[in-house]
Amino acid sequence: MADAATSGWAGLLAVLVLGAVGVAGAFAVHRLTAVAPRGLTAWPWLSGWHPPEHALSRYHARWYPVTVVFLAFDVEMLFMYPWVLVVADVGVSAVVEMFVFLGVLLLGVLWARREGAFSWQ
Amino acid sequence: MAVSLRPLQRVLARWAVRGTTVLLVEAPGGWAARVAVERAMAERGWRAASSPADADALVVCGTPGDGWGEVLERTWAQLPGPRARASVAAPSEVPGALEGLAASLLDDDVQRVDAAARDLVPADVEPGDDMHPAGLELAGGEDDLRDGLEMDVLRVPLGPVLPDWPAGLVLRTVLSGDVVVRARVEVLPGAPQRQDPADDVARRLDAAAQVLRLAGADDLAARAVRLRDAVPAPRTSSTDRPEDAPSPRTSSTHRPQRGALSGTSSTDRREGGAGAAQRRRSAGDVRELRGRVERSRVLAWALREADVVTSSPTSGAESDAAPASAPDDLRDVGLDARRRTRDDVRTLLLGLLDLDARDDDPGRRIRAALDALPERLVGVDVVSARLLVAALDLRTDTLDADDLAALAPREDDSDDDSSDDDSDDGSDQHMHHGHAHG
Repeated sequence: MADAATSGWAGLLAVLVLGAVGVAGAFAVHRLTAVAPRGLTAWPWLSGWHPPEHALSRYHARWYPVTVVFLAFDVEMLFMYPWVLVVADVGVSAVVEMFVFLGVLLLGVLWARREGAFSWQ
Repeated sequence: MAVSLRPLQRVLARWAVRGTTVLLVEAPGGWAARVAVERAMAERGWRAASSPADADALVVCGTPGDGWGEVLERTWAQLPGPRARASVAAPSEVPGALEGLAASLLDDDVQRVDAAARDLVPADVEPGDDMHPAGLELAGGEDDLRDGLEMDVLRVPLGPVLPDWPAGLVLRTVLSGDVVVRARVEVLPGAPQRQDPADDVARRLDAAAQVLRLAGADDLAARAVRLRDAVPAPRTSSTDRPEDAPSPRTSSTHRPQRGALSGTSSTDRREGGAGAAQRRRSAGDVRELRGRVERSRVLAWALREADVVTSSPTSGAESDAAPASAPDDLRDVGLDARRRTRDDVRTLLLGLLDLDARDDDPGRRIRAALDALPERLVGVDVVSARLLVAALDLRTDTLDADDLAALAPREDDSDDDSSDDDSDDGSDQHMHHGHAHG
């Protein structure tokens, strides 16, 4: 038992050492053989032109409204888990309440659609 | 230490040179040279690089004219060592040039001297601060095309050093996200080149291969390249037949298919049936490729995606008037403003592979396309724009001195543009709002 455990650890250690030696070897070969081991810093490549401005910029993330709509329906699904357990006992009023709730959410979706939140073209 | 590493360095260098990546730059008029380089690269197992960082060697095809120097030096400075460069003005120079590249890449002393002599950090990189990272300005805002939100726009030049892109073409775009807001066309000139009608089929196949590569259909692109390289090249006779080059009689009476494939009908007759049989086979192969392109579902899917900003400034009330003024013109060059860009790309691609379609005056077609491009690209995303430019087969070597003067790079970069376009943008944006709410 102890032997098996020891040999298991020995195997792991061997793999770690081999890996470390391999990585260190590759790194050493690179340092010693590359013509310029430090590497080159270059401007971003713009088809041969100098960048007129930094690419750090505000851009339109069109998935935000879609994400929010998804979250709304996700939370709504959370409400529906307890609801399905009691809907049979409570009866018609529970069904009506849930569908009114769904309807309100759906109105939001229709509004967002009218505002063009989902148009990707 | 260094002495003992020499053999290892040689082994590594030889192994690396077997798969050299080459950044190809084509100046107008350098088409034949580039094709020859590509063919020689394929024989050596070398491959084309997609950017300077990916490249071991820089090969300039053709004879770059004014304005190229700065572009080439900047590109060259972005190649990491070991690096090598060559210029190939004519196909005959290709074997020597590639041999020279390989020798230079294998020469450790040359590469070490080169590496020691260059700045590993460009001299014009400044420390910068939060508002000026690396000494660059931050992007400025502008109304977004799609929904009028103010987003940052970037000025991004496309070309001339760009794979699968017309020789010497510079498209100075202003991008909002990935959508072109404005574009301006410039052409960096090359050496004037007489058009050889016999090259037409090979050039079409080359353009088709570029479109297919951009669309991700690498196997079809490779097939188009193989067919391009298999097109019987009547190079020997291109100098001694003034009678059938630009004569209006031959260009208007020949059967397009024959004319395209047999620009040298006189030599053809002299060498007998072998050449003709080869041409027939070649034409059959092109038809077969066209069929594959037409049937490929993946390609159709890639070129079907809806991509156009429908509420671009040109699609409002004004657009009803604009196409009416020159609809035939636009449709002639494959730029129907009312169709989707990738539909255009597909149509143009199939047209390139249709040897029955005639292209009597490529010069006129290309001038019209270059004129129409800036407006056509407004509202188009970058990928579709690159596909469209490739599919238009813009042979910039057909442009004459006047065209080149009109399309010469201008110093007044984009500040002028934005200032005189601002008033237009305001009204367009206004119109666009009305459109969206209506």
